[in-house]
Amino acid sequence: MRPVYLALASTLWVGLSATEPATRPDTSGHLGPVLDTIIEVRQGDRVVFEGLSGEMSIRGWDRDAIEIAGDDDDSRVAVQRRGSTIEIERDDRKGRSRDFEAYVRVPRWMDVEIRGRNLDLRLEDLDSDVGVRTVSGDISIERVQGALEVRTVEGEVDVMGAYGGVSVSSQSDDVWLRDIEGRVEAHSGSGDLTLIDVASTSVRAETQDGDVTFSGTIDDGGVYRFFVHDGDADIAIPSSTNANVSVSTFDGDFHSDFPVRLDRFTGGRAFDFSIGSGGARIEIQVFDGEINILERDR
Amino acid sequence: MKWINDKNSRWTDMMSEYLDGTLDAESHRELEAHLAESGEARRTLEELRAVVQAAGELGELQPERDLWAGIAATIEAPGPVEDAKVIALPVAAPDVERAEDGIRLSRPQLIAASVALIAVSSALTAQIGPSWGSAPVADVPAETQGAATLVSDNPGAVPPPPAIARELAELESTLEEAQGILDPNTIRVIERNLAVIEQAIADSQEALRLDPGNDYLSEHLNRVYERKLTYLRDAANVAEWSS
Repeated sequence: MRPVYLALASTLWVGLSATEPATRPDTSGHLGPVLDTIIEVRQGDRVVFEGLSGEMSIRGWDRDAIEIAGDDDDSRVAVQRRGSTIEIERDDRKGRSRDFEAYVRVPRWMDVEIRGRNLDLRLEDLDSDVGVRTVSGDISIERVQGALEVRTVEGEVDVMGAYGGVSVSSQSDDVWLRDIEGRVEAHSGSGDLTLIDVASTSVRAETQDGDVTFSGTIDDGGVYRFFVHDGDADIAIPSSTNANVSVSTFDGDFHSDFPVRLDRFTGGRAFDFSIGSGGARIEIQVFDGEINILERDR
Repeated sequence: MKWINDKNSRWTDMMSEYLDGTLDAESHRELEAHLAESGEARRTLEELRAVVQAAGELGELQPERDLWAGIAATIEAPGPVEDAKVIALPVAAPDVERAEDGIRLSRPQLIAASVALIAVSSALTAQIGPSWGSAPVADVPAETQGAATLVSDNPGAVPPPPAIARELAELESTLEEAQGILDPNTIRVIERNLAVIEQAIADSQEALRLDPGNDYLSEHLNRVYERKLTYLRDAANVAEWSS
């Protein structure tokens, strides 16, 4: 691995300092010698990565410092501090507009915000809030304790382990959420939404052109809403669920593993029924596709 | 998470649930705190409230077919049903043979024709300048384009809700202006995704034309329009920070 050169504007140098090289990132084992760059930070700081393209891996660690390593002589980033925010951007001063490959470690407590153009991103092991916005590129995230927000125009989003609430949107690709706690909002313009092992009192999933698959617990006081334009909704819930279910469709089929006791029928293509003693609110709307309510235990 | 740019879409989503009465307690408190601080948020909430009120004033119309018999046949109310049930909800699309003008079209054909109408509109607009608000011609199957005139006189097209129509137009204008600074691939991706939303709008409008009393369809169409608004906001942000 070659060094990443930090282009530090002199007026913004305050608060940033380079220290001794650190341990090679675990994710860079396939690369050559490393000369890492370390930026010391303070509790309460946050880091923003701006306008990056290429591949980036971010991992939380226990040091109060940001480590950046790259593998390209021409990879340059500019780093500056604005108050408590550390901004890391691609350095295009010489007209460079190249993809780069970077391996970054940040304190687990540090909020992280990433804005990429065409960026494949892997991020893991953070206790903080994380925000990601990209135009394209796949995004893989594991083990985030804080609030997670991801928006991409074109890219698959795969989240495994998020415990502070999740808001994810991909306009044209699939979204995978597994092992999720807290409020959940998931959207895809033209991809499938797969939500597995979700424990939440508030879920909203919507896709215009794709299937929604949900498997999770249902809290008696929770609200769970699923909206599909063209696709199926497969909702797997525990046999012990207590919920009031509203189903609406324009051109679709309905199937339930649960006994259906009709509470309301509007005369159109919408009806309500209860599961168990009622309680939670489950709303499923499918314009054109199947609605399947399944027993998760099966 | 403090975004440098706005978090409008998230607040808007929360407002929708707030008005629906489905917002969980924690989010309810969070939103009300935000409303107390933000005049813009309060204005947005009032606009959304106006949309909901307008939708409610549409009134309940009778469906073309009463589906109760079909559902009742497969549900034993009020007692529990022991076995899994499958309810095939009949399609209410009118038989194309009912068309007085003698033209026989299936519902998918009608929907395809609606899409083609959007494509033709886009093509005409493209002669002046590309539009972000319409499905690009390239995304429309060629075989559908010939049917455009069959629905071009259709007065049933439902416009965007007034509360968001202005912002939709403004965002479309913003994106038109931003095309010069976005790379061609990004433009292509945004156009393709917009085409998906426009398709959903066309589907919903056609369905409403066939079943104008369907509350679900009205709600669905409004939701798709709101999704388009959210998407255009995101796309405008992309134009801002990716340039």
